[in-house]
Amino acid sequence: MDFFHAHQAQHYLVLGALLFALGAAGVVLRRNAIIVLMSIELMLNAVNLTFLAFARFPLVANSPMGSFLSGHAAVFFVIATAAAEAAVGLAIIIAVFRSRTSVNVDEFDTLKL
Amino acid sequence: MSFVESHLLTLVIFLPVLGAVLIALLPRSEGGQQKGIAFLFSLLTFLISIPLWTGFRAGSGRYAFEQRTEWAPALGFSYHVGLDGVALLLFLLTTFLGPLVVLSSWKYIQERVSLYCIALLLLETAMLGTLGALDLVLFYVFWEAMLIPMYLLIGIWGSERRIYAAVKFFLFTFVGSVLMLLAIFWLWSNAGRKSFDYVDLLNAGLVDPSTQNWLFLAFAVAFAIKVPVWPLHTWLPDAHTEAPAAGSIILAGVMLKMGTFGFVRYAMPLFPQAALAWAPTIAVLGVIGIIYGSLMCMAQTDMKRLIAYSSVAHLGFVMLGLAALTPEAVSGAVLQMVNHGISTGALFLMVGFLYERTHTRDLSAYGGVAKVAPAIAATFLVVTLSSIGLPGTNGFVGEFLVLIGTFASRTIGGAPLAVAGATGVILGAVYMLWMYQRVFFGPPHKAAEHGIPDLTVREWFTLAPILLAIVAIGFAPQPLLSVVKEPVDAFVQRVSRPPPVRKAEVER
Amino acid sequence: MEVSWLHLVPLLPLIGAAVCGLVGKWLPKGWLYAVALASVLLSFLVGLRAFLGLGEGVQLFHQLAFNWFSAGSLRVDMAFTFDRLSGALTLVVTGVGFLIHVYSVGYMDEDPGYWRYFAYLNLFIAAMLTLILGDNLVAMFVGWEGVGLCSYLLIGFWFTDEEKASAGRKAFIVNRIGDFGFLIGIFVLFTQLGTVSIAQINSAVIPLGVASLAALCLFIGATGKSAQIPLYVWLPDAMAGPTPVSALIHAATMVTAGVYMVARLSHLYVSAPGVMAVVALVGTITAIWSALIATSQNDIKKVLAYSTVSQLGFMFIGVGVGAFFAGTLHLITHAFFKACLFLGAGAVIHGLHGEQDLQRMGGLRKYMPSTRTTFLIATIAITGIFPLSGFFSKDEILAQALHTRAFSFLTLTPTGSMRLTWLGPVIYAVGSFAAFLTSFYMWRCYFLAFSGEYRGPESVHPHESPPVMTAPLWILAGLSVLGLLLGLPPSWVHGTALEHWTWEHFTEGVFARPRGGAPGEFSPAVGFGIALLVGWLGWASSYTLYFKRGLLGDEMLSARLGPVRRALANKLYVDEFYGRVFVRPLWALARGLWRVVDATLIDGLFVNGIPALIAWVSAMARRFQNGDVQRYAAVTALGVAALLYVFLVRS
Repeated sequence: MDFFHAHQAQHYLVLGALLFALGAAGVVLRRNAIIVLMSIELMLNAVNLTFLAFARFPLVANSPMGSFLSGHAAVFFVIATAAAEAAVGLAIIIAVFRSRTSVNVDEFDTLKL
Repeated sequence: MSFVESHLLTLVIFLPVLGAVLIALLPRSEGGQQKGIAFLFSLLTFLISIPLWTGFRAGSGRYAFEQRTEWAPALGFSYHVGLDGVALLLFLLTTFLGPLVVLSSWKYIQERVSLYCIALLLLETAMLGTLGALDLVLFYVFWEAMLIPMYLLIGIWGSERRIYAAVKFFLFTFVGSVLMLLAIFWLWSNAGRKSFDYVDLLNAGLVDPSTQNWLFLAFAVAFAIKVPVWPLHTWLPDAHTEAPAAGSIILAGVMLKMGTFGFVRYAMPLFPQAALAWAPTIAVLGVIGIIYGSLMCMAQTDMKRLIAYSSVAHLGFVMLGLAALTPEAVSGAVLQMVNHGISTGALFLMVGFLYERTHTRDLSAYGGVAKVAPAIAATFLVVTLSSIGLPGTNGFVGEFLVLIGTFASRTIGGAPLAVAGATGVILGAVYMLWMYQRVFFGPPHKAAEHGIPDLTVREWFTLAPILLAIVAIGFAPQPLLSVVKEPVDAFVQRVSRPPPVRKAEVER
Repeated sequence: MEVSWLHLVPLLPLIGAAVCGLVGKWLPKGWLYAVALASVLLSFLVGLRAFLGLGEGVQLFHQLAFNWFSAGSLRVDMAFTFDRLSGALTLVVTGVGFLIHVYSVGYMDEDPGYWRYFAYLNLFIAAMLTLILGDNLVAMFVGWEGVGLCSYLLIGFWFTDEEKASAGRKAFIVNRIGDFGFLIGIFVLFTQLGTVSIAQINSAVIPLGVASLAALCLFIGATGKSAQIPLYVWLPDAMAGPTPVSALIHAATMVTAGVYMVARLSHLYVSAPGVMAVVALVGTITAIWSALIATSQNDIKKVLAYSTVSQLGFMFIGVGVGAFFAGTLHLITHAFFKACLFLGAGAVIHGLHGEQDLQRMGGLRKYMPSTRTTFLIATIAITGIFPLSGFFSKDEILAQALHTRAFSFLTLTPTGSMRLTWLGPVIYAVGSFAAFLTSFYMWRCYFLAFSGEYRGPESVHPHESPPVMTAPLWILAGLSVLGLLLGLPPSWVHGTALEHWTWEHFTEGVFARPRGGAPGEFSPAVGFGIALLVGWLGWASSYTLYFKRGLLGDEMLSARLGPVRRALANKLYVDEFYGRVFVRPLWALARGLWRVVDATLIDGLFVNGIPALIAWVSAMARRFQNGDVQRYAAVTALGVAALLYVFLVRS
């Protein structure tokens, strides 16, 4: 059972990094709040991918932690967190939209000095 | 000692707080009740402080009415209070002025009376605590505690620029205090056994001279701002001008002395070598304060501002005396602390009377008040004479001692300084008599044209103790001087001939 | 000899002052007068009893009333010494003071502030007595400042008049400048000799430098209190006060305090011969300076004021050349005739309902015989005409100046060789000229007021003053005559009972001898002869100019000496000079300092500047927080990346 091929994990890691970067760029650069949320989801999913990649291609063979299920477990946590955060985020956007009739992030600047 | 005796000091210190609590719990009604309670409690405080005077045994070398209770032994500070001669005099000055301050604001304060009375009482406690504390943390707590009530007094019940004056006062004083806090921490961490206790620190042997320098400066700046020493004085005229009369009385009467007291009790004895090195500078600053302050008085058009600058001049004498480091000069300086409290407090009191009647402090709006209000004129004259140090009034003895002691000082080569300081005698007469003439002499003019009500019974009651004190101390200052003789001698000894530097440093 | 009743002498008038001041307003007038007069009279009687008790066995009475204050090595007691000098002066002060109190009952009767007046007057007597009797310099200083205070209160008595109030203030402040010198003198003596007790100072060996410094500083105080150059300017202005005040304070008593101080500390002064020369010189210059001004004044009180300054100059000449007895003798005789002159002037003013200008007087001899006679007697006395007292005192001073040896070993410069033996004769010459002027202006004053015809307005009916005012005049005039007994040279009455009455004999042993030795034996005849001549010349010139011609005399002088006379009439512009050189610059300095240093520099730059700086910095920093959440997120991400770089790549 020769699953230890680090360079195979490479592909997944690169994909994850790319997706993360795309998501981060979207968070910082996009103006629509809903798109920002989607970008955040993208970042989280990228993280999921990275976790799974390491779950599948662990760095250390025969880890004393038993089975390589921590990666999968982490993914579940992240999915749950993402779902919760998306719900709350959308609720906030709806509330803000009700008072401002806009989802343009540039206009939400009252947190300034 | 019975319970009361051994806890008398604590009782006196905290009695005003009790009054404040009582007022806070009262339902919000008309002002009379609150003022009555405030007056009652401040009067009580004065009355129970009298046994402190009669029971004071000078010359024992220890602190009278000492009480020490453990507070936080792990951190090194305790509740340690006690009085020596100098503290006793200022203590009594505070309790003496307390009820008078409350009386003076009876008619004038109409809104938020309960807060006002609470502030006055808390302020009194804070000042008494500062004087009685023998532990540095305790001292610092009370020192800072003085700031808030004073800030409120100026900021809420003051005149047009009160917010500016209150903030200026607070920040200015606070900056100094924070420096002092740093120095206190340093002392604690390097005092051998980690203690904040004053007596321990005093006996622990000295810090090495170079560090002493910085520590002394930290303490000195804090106190110098409070005194105030030139050039750190600019908060004072604003604070006095904008404060209500009672605020000015308590500020000039007691709070400024906290600065000079700090020098006598903490800054100089704890760091004697640094103090000795800085003494000439302090003396020069004192003289500058005298001359500069007097000149400033001559340029003023606002009565309260004029008296504020006169405080700078008077306390210049005190600083000169302290820095001269001879028994005569230091005794004179301590006596002047008390005298200044009484006479300048009285000046502000009387200016308050005039302001209540005419609602102006501008000198050009006055003239001829003596014709329409002779009692005010007569009493104001007595207070004026006290302020310029006429023999027979309290001001003379202190000034004389300071000057002669400075002249005789070999520690700082005081002769030229004494001569320069003595010109303050001339300048003092110049500005005070000029102000007196502008306000009281001449034909009745502007504010006085339609008559000014003369002193009321309440005002007489407020003034009478002060006038009595002026004359009594003028004729018989010796009781006060005997009480401070021993701490003064100890002070001079310690600063001019410091004990050896701490062994640990020497061995290094 | 220690006694326990000496303190009554200053205490009784003090109690009188307290009663008059505190409850006087509500007392019936008669009671108030009784209290005020009785306190002074009683004080006089106690003093008299003490004076009579002085004799062979008892040189002085001493009392330590209480320890006033002590600190360090300084101990100041309120203690009194009654010896021949202070005793005699006590009698003069209380005696003349009593007479003036009596006079004031008449003069101030209609003034609404009469109770205040008597309170201040009593307070003055108390302070003056403290000054005289004080046994140490600080006690003396208490009296010194006390009389200054009373002077302030009494000069500015009618305080609703701005000018009068300012005159009072001027007196106090100029006096304070002198007091500053006095204080420094005390300090020097304390630091160098370790004592402030007069007795100890007078018996100590004082090094020349210390003595000179202390004596000079104390003398500065004397120039203030005794109105010498340069601090005499308050005295003429002090005439704004009620005339009895001018009589008491500014003629008979307070102004003599400086002379008294020098005489009291004679040992100190003879230890500083250079300062004695200064004293004599200042006295001389002042004498001639104010005599010149007095010749051209038209206000009767101003004439007398400048005359007082001049006579004080004479007294300082006396003590300056070492003839302490002569200076103090003149002090006493001057008290008598000057008080008489001032009270006489007061009677004139009172009788003319407030007129003080000589130009509107004249012919008053017809309306006020008593006043005129007493004024005449006093004028004769002051001009130094035999056999009245002024002759013996003033001319004795000049004779002593001529023959003094006090300066015989002084040189002009420390290393020079020119000895100052000529100083005495120079002083004599100048002083004699001043004496001539004294005679001239005093007779001018008399003639313009009393001789010729009345020049005033029709509406004013001059009248004599009530007896309560004229009686003191007569008594004082009598004393001016009797004072001659004091002044007789002992050589004239040697062997007779009168010898013990002469002042010179009486004060033997009280004063120290100047270092050059006593003046050589000289026959007083020549000196007296010249003095008589001088006095007669003054009378004669005044007679020619003013007796018949009245004001024409002034006009003739103005025609000949126009600008000089104008300058003199304007007091030689001293006040203007002081104003321009000292007073105005001082006020300008004060205002300038306030604007520049306090307002601009300290407050502007530091106190308000630092917060302004902080505010500016925070305004810059604030721009980072613009509310744009995406920007915050981007910055956070960059920060995390940086941290990761630091910790992972660079560790």
